[in-house]
Formats: sequence, structure tokens, C-alpha cells
Amino acid sequence: MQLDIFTPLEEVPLTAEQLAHKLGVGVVRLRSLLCALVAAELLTVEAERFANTSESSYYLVRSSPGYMGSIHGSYATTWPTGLKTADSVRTDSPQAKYDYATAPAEFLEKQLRGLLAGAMATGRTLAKHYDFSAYRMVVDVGGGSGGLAIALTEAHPHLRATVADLPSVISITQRVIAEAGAAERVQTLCMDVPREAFRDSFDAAVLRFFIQVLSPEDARQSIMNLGRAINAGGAIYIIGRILDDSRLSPLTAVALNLHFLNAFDSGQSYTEGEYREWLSAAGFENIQRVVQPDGNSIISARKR
Amino acid sequence: MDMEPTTIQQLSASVPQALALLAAMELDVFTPLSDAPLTTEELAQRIGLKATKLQPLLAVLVSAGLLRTDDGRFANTPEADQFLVRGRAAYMGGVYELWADLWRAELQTAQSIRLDMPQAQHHFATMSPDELRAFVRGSLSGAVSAARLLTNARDLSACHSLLDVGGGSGGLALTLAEKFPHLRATIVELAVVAHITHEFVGESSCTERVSVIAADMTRDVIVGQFDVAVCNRFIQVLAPADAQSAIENIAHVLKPEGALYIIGHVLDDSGLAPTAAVNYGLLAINLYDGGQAFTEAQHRAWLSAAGFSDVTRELLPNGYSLMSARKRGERGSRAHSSNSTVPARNDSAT
Repeated sequence: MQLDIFTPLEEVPLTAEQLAHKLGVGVVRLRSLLCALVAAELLTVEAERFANTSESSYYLVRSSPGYMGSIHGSYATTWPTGLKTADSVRTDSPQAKYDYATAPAEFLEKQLRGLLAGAMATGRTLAKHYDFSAYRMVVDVGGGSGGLAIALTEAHPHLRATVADLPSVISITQRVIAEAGAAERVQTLCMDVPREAFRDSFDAAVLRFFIQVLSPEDARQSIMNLGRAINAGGAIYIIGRILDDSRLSPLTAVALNLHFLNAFDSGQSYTEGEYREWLSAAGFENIQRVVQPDGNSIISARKR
Repeated sequence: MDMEPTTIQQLSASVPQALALLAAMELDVFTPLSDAPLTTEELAQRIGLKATKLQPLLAVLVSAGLLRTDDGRFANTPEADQFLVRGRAAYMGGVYELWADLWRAELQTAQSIRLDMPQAQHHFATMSPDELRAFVRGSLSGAVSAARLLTNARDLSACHSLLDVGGGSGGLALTLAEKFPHLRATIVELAVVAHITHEFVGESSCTERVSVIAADMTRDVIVGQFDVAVCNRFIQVLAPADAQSAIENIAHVLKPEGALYIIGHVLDDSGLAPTAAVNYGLLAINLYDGGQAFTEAQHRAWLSAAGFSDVTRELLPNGYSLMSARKRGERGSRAHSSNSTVPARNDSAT
């Protein structure tokens, strides 16, 4: 993913030498990587020519609609962090702490752009599986990259979306929205959701990977604030890592907790039970959770 | 398209499981669980940790199949109990330092390819004493298990003198010396490592039958005549030209008809199997200038040029290969090298 080796292989299978030439790298080291990717079943090889599998062709080639290769940025920060887990547990403090408040703007922008493809995929999933036809105004809470709002309004041109996020993030969000040519249908709102009340009301709210980065108090308060901002009969969709009440599954949610031990003072995969309690207290009903194939959950609920 | 990115998701999901295993080995969570199943709180108290921090670690270990849980209590699975409880014969938990080191290196893969240079170079000469000691200690359990695999595969009862080339931790030579009371073993290691090897040998019960000499087998010709030579995970760290000269120099000190056993990662000539060797090849590009999982054909060419015959290769249960070769008698002793012959001495290694 980092070297983007899948894109040049899409047109025609190449030998290690041909691919090395295209990428401008040495062939000996590249060949080791290609052989390991064959073993991992992401490439095939025939007569010394390497080719994409159907999975890598759809998900790892830049021009493909399913491209998710940009996730390497997130892997490259979380995996090294995971090597510090024993120390973080032992010292009871995150040994690889991220501090977004002091992070350079370009770091933040890189992180957000790394989330863009996944956020757009979530927008398409929501548009496909849930009925947005009765809604006009949607708020994308903590929607940093803008991707979810962009994809959702693309699928439902009658929708108008507002991306609400912190001041440090929102100028990046505006740039991404403009680049996508979505400024007509997606606007931004600068606010700190757990600490401020919404001034406008909405028909629906989407929250992707948002509640899980908050402390339990801030999580509850954000959902309370949304309970007041969403019109009766409106809906809330919470997408992210959500634990079964056993706290032992799904693996992606448990693994997030392990990562957060190393990276943040607060934030965790909360349980389905915790979400149900917060949502009920904020006036939501008909609460349903669906676990997606990628391990993320979608909780949907309707405002009384 | 309705296909799911199954392979990609499986690969990325296995990373936190592997990292949890690493942390659990370091925190030694399996040993206290060998007596009786414990709740998170009880275990946290035994190890002196906070339960809230330990809980996610235990949950990932359940998903990884190393712990099971019942009634709020966690217990080792049979595999964890056999291999991850301190004091068990097959304990391998001590390998975590080595794994952490190698995994950190492997995260540099894209950059090593981009710059065509190992970004986590492992050069004994430039490692700090602590790094070196951790590295050598980390290789101990692998060396012990290599000795077991070798004795299962080959009859060494007639061997009286054995050369362990690059056997830094001493694990292979010491295990064999314990098993065969008549065996005398010599470990050849670079001078920077040899003093650590000395310490490890000194702590064993076979000190008087295992000696250590400091030499660089790729450049120095040592003195001696051995029945058997073993290279455990040694050839694979060398550049091809060095591998060739090491094998020639080993031929010099083997008796006619003596056996050479190469244990480690050897690739099929296709370069695509076995998986363990393919994966090692990827790791090696981050660690070494020229070290690689070489193919069977490359090994055969070096062995034949150095006067060996009867070359065979078999796959061991751990994914390594065992290559065996016999030094040709009579004419086989023609082995002649351009290297200067020097007696083994303690400062000869680079």
C-alpha cells in the first residue's frame, strides 16, 4: 500500500524487474515483497509475472471505486504504537500518546485524508441500507474528513449535510469538500459537540468513529445534545467499534481498546449496553445494532 | 461489487492479536493463570497492574485462541499452557524481545525498498551491548528447538566432535552436549558476540565439553577437524559471496565424509514457498545488506563447489529446512581457498 505496487499491476501482469523499473526501486528487495504478497494471497504469479487478485484489484488499486489502500497511514501509526502495549499497561499511562491539539496541521491533514476513503464507503453503506428519503438536513458529527457527508449527499441529492467538528479540523474539512465539488450540498459548523448545544435542528445525525474517542461523560453529553437537536421522528446512526456486552468481541472493537491504551488518556470501544442506555436517556427508541463485515457496528435509533 | 476485502481484513486483524501476544509475554500473564483460572481483577492484582488496562489485553488473547473464558474467569488454552508458562520445558515466552525488535524492523519495509538499503540494519559490530545481549538471548529458544529437530531427523550418536557455526546463544551446542555425553562441541562466533556466548556456556552443566572460539567464518580458516558442522540460521544472514566462503571454510575443517547440516530458511527454487522462508525474505531486506532466504539451488551450487556431495533438503515441522551434505573423501579434501589461514584468535572477527 505504501509503495502503491497494486496500481501499476492493474493494466497488465509484470515481472519483478518491470515493476521495479516502473516504481524506480531495486529489484532484489522488491522481489521479496512480491513473493510475500503471493504467500498472503494478494498477488498471483505465473511465468514470473505478478498480477493482482480480484480482491487487491478492487480494493488496492487507486482508480478503483473500492480503493482502501490509503489506510496504510493509519496502520503505520497504530502498529508501531502497539509495540508499547506492555509498557502502557504497566505504567497505567499511554506510552505513545497522540495529541491532536498540538499536532502540526499537516499531520492532522494527513490523518484526516487517510480516513476519507473509509468515510465515503460508510456514506455509501448508509445510503444503501437505510432510508433517508424523508430527511432533508443531516449533521455529520465529528466528520473531520467530510467523506461521509460527501458520499451520502451524492447518493441522495435531495439531502443537505452539515459537518460539525473542532476549529483545528474544520478548515481541512472545507478544503476536502471543495475539492470534491460538494460545497453546494455540504457545509461546515465549527463546534465542540460535548460542550456546546446545537443552534439548528436536524432530521438525522451520523457519527462515525466519534463517540469512541470521547470519555464516558463526554459520550453521554454528546448524545444528550443530539437528542435535543434532532426532530421528532428523526434518526441517529452511530458507526464505529462497539463491543458486545461480554466485552470480548468483536475483535476489531477489542483491538481498538488495546490501541487506545497506548494512544489516548480517554476514549474506548463502549458496549452495546452503554450505547442503549445513553440513547434511551436522550429520547431515542427502536435502537438496533448491526455488525458489519469489517467489524464495525452501526447503531441506529429513532427520536421519539 | 459485493466482494468483501476478506484477505486484507484478516491480515490487519491479526496484527493486534500478535501485538497482544507480545505484550502478554512481556507482562507474563500466562504463568499466574497456570494454577487456576482467575478473574481480570485477581490476575491484575497478582501481576500488579490495573484491571481496566488489563481487560482489553485479555479479550484480544481470547480472540487469538490463547486464553479461554468461562464465568468471568480467564484460563490458558492447552497451547498457551505448554509454551507460554514460565518454567515449562517448552517455554518460549522469552522470545518477545527478539520479536519486538524484528517487527519494528519489518515496519520499515517500504522505506528499505524505496532507498534500496536496510532501514533497520542488524550489524553485530554496531549494536549496543544491551541490544546485542537481548538479540542473542532472544535466539536461545530457537537454537534449543533446532537441536531437538536435528536429533529427531539425524542420528548423531557416532559424532564425537561438532562445530556450531554462528551459534551465539550456545543453545544448540549445549543441548546436543547434554544429550550426548561423549560429544565435544565448539561454537564459532564473531568476537563481539563470543564473550556473551562464553557467559551462557559458563552457566551450563557441560562447560568442560563446549568451547567457544572467536572468528569470522566467512574470512578466517579455523584450526580443527570435526565430524559434523551445523549452521543454524547462519547462512541466511550472509551476502551470497560470504555464504559461499563460509561453506568453503567449513569444508576445510570437516573430516572426510563429515556432515554439514544447514538449518534455516531455504526457499524452493520458485521463490514462493515455504511461507516461513518467504516471510523471512521480507524481513531480511530490512536487516541485512545481502542476507536473504536463499534458494535450494543456490545452496546446492555453493555446497558442490566446496566439495560436498549427497546434498538433500527436507522441510522441518517449524517451516525451516534442513539441508544435509557430506564432504567428499580423498579428493574432497582438495578444498582450497584464497583466504589466509589463521589460527582462531579472540580478536579476529570484524
